Amino acid sequence: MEFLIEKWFNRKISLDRIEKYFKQLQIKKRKLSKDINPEDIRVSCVERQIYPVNSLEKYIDMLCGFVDQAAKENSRLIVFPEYNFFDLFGFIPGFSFINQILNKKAIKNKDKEKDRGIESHLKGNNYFLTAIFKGVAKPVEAGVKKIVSLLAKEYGIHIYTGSYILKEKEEIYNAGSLFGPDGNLIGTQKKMHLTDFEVKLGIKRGNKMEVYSLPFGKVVCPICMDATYFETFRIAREMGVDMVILPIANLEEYSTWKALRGIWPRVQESYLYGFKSSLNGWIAGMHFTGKAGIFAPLSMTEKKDGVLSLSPFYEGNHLITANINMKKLYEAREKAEYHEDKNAEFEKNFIEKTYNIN
Amino acid sequence: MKAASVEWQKSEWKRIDKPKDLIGKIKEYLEKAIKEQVDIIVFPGFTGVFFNQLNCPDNISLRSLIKEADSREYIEQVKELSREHKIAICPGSYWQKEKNNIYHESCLIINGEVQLKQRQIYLARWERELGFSRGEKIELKEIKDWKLALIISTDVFYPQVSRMAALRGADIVLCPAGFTGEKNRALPLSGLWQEVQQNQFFAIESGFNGFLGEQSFWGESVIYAPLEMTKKGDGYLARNSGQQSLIIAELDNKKRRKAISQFDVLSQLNREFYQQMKIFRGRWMQ
Repeated sequence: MEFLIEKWFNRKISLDRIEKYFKQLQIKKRKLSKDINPEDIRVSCVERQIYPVNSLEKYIDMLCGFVDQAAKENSRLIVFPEYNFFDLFGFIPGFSFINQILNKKAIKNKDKEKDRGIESHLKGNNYFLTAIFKGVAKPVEAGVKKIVSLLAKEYGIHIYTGSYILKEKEEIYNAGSLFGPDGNLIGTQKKMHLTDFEVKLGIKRGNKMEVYSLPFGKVVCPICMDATYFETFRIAREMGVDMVILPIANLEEYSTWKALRGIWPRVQESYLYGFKSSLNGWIAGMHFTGKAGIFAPLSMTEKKDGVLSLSPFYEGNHLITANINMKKLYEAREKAEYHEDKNAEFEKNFIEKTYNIN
Repeated sequence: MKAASVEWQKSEWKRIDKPKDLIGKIKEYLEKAIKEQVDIIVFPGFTGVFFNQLNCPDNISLRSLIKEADSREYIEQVKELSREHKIAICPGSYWQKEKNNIYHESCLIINGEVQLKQRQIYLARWERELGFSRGEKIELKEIKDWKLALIISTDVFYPQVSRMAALRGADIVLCPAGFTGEKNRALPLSGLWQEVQQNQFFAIESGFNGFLGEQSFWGESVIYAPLEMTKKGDGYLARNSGQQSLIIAELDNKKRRKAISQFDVLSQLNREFYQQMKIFRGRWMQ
């Protein structure tokens, strides 16, 4: 089945077709000033609804719409969400019909499942989903990268692809890539902490985080659950990072409190900027929710709440944008009342003492 | 296990002007707690420092208070109360001198004995400026099948402290706290609330809302638990809503384990990845 899916998706996601469509789009090349002022950088994060498509052009139009809006707002960086390719499942023959049935059934059973703690039927159907994920991985990766590369070049903006399934030697990972304004790939980062659902699907985790130097600061791109763990952000700070890109797609009903377990507290304890993009909506009986947000340490935000910009609702399509200022960030670190202390004696052999690693 | 946290408003602290009044108030709250069948009670951060201040009313600055810092009398008095009241007591925090060092410290007293001592491991800016020293380790105490840890004030903003306690099996964290600066409800959320969520232990925080010298402090008194086991899904088992000064909650370890099974954070730790953390190998200066 995996082989057939891959073949089908290779046919549907043709790189030539992407290039041809971009020529038709005739995107006006954007001229952003080459002088970057690190004290005044605009960044945008996407919150978007899953919309299964039956043509690649519709998917490109959707991504292009967000990038166009971010470019108009003079953003230097736009961040797409985790599992940013789910819309492409619309290419599977009969998907639209099955999707509708599964979603209706899931909505009907939502309350019952909540009360009884039952997982979505599809969440349990691991073999089927694993085969789909493995089958679509290569063509989707190639397609998403091609589209984002062209968008980045046409609009002269840094773009994080959102995450997709990366297949390496028969293993699959949840990964995302960052492209520069010249359209070149800057790097690809695998997710390092998985959800139970991903573990059941056979997704493997990455064990290394890479830092990318952008003209306005250093950035890392962990994914969703990675922000549940302070260690990710601690390592980021050690690497000299100022900004963390974090795409999410939360497979749960929205709760402000659950949302607060992620990037917001990490930004507070680590003193860096956090850019969260989010995928929402129903697909194959699964419900994703989440708000996009741009966060900074409490003292750097107007209301002292750590929020520079937050999407108004946890569903639907929204582009949020905020200004960040590296000089202010460094000043905030210098002045931090309750952070930025070090204790060499306590930290000595912390890993061995805490995680039982020798 | 039934737990309680004390919160006194600024006006209440202001009314206390003698050390014996403070001890009387502590006694009053121990009796209240015992009436409610509480097993463990946490008093606010800096209560021991406040006791010292009452002993030296002429000292009006933090610096002069530090010179006189001596927690022995305060701890002895609480130990005395503890002999009469069958309840585990965290007497809040205090400043403790040792040789030329001064530490922000707390303890757990049961049956007139100090069973667990903990020094604050990281310092706030104002504590660094005043020349405080740092504790170097975190220890746990097992009481009736419950593992307890003390995490003091500033340490709630250093997740490595909570993580170490959690991975050593802490079921409950006791936290006497108090913060300087303008009151901001987002601050405790970024502190102990989120430590509970990323480590899934119970925590009892007791905040100081008084003055030390001319320095004003604020804090909240809250009993936290993992989101999945709290009624409103907000991580609060009990918190002060301005109505009461003794916050009480039942800590149910079975419910906590069930909550963990629904969202098991620690099962997905990536130890291989964490080897990238140079800072914790004592190499952060390199």
